[in-house]
Amino acid sequence: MIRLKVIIVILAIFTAGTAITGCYTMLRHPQVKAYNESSGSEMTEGIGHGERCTDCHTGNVHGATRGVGRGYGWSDYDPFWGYNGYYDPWLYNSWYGSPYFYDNYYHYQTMPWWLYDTRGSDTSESAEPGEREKPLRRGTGSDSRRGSTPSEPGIPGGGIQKPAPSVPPASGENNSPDNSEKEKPNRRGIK
Amino acid sequence: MKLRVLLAIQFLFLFVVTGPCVSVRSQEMVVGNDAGVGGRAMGMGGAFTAVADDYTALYYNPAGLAQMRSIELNLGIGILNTREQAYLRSVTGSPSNGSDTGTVTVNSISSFGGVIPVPTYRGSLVFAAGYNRIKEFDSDFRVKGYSDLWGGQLTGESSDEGGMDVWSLAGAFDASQNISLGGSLNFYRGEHKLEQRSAYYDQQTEYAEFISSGYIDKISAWNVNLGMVVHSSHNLRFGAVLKFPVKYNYRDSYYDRWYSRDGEPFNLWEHVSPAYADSSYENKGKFRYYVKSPMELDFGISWIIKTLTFSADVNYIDWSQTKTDLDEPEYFYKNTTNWRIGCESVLPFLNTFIRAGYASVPDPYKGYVYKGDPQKTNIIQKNKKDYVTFGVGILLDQSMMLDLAFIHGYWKSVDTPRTDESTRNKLFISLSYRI
Repeated sequence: MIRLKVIIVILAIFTAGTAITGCYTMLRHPQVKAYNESSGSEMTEGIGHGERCTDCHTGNVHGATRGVGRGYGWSDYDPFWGYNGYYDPWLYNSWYGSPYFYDNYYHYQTMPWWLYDTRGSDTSESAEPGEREKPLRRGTGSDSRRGSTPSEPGIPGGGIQKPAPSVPPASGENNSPDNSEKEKPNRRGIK
Repeated sequence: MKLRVLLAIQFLFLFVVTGPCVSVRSQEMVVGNDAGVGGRAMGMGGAFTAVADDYTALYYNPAGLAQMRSIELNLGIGILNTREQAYLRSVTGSPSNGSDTGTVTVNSISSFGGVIPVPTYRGSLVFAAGYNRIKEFDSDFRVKGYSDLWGGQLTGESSDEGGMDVWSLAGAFDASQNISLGGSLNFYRGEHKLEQRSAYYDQQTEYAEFISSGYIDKISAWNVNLGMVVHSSHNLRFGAVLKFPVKYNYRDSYYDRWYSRDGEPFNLWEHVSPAYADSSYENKGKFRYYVKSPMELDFGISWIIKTLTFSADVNYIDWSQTKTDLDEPEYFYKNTTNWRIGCESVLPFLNTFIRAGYASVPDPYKGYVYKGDPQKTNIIQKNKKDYVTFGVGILLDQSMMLDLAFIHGYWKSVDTPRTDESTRNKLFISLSYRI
């Protein structure tokens, strides 16, 4: 029984210690210094889970190919996302694909539950990937995205959202090069 | 008459104590005999060490839990059907061969539990807890025919019931960008109930024997498993699990009854008592023992390309290092390398996944020897257990997945003059609800 307790304690310490301190896994964003223009003073503030990384960061967030909040990473199983996070239009819009399935599977398998509320119904009425609002830098313009609203979901990994289920072009509709370009968004916003 | 009593006691040892192939002491039952866990994993032949991205990672590879982003509640049901066919072949060719078949169907809850990912800014931290039924002992074995050993007609039935459950607590986290680590603490609880009845009759001498025996073993144990998942390039994943030795503690209650008479043969199902026999022997008791299984190593690889997932597992166990404090008999084991392969494909236009797999599981049990009487050494030839699996996963909506898997297993064992053919069919039904 003593041996059991010792192992439990070791496991608990190992798990908690490694996960929280000095490990890749971080439960919270490090506090950042912000400048209060009205008072002229510096202050520290926390960063919420739902905030867009690209509000402050550019390029490859954290230098991680799998980005923030894993599940947006290229190596996670998502049958509609090929290598390097690129969307495979053949699957998505072919007879084989199904936007309905994709949307369900994305929520089932990939979306972090703590982002669910903040993302709201972004997949149903949102604009095409190429038409999405460009992320804003923190402190420039509207910084009210913190604690983002359902209509402006916070997406880690560059603010590029999962493409809305698109409807294959109707027969006779011009499938312009621009449209096909929209079918290949960079999933993490990392070019 | 004295000779017959001696023969009967010898019979008692040979048939009752050692029993039929499928009904030896629980010691053998906990060595191997994995029941399989999870509808999705079993659809892929159990090759899940490197996939492990749902609740069943708790069992297959706790590090895989770090891949989960949703709170998951899981419930699994298993429907097991076993079929044991025994052939008695008379090597003297007289008077005839015989065979009999026993079947049993058992329904059980095979798993339930939950997974909770902690919100993270980067990486992953996930905890899980739950129950899985990992071994099933249920079977019904019947034998009928002429026995060379005793020079007479033999009928018998042996019924096994019970299984082994494990309650687990697990945690996993991303130790680096591409490496996840995890561990689980497992508490095992099991019960194995055996009842055997056999009747022997020599027509020439009109001598009859009846033997009834059985036991109930209560089993408990605990251990720790450590796992790792490595996300490599090109959608490759590697998994490894170190399973520390498990010391199974047994509390055994047993009974043995033997009766003989001249003239009328015993009916296998009659209620026999000393009043209906010329001579009898009855014994019962309780004792404790342990069996310590060796450390296990699991390695797995999975590869995702387009809509296909391929996975393969190798599991090495040196069963010869199995230890016990049972005096008699001494069991023989060999090291085994189990391997499993599986694949999964998504059919998005049907909201469905289809799966198939194969598993090769050599039987580690070779036989036994009575150290006090080495002449009673018995080596049993057992083929490896082959399993073919098929599965379907249906995504019901954004939160719920229904996984079905069917496994078919077959193997054969020879314990001259008897040959046993065993078939296992099992249906797994798993429902996963993700919040």
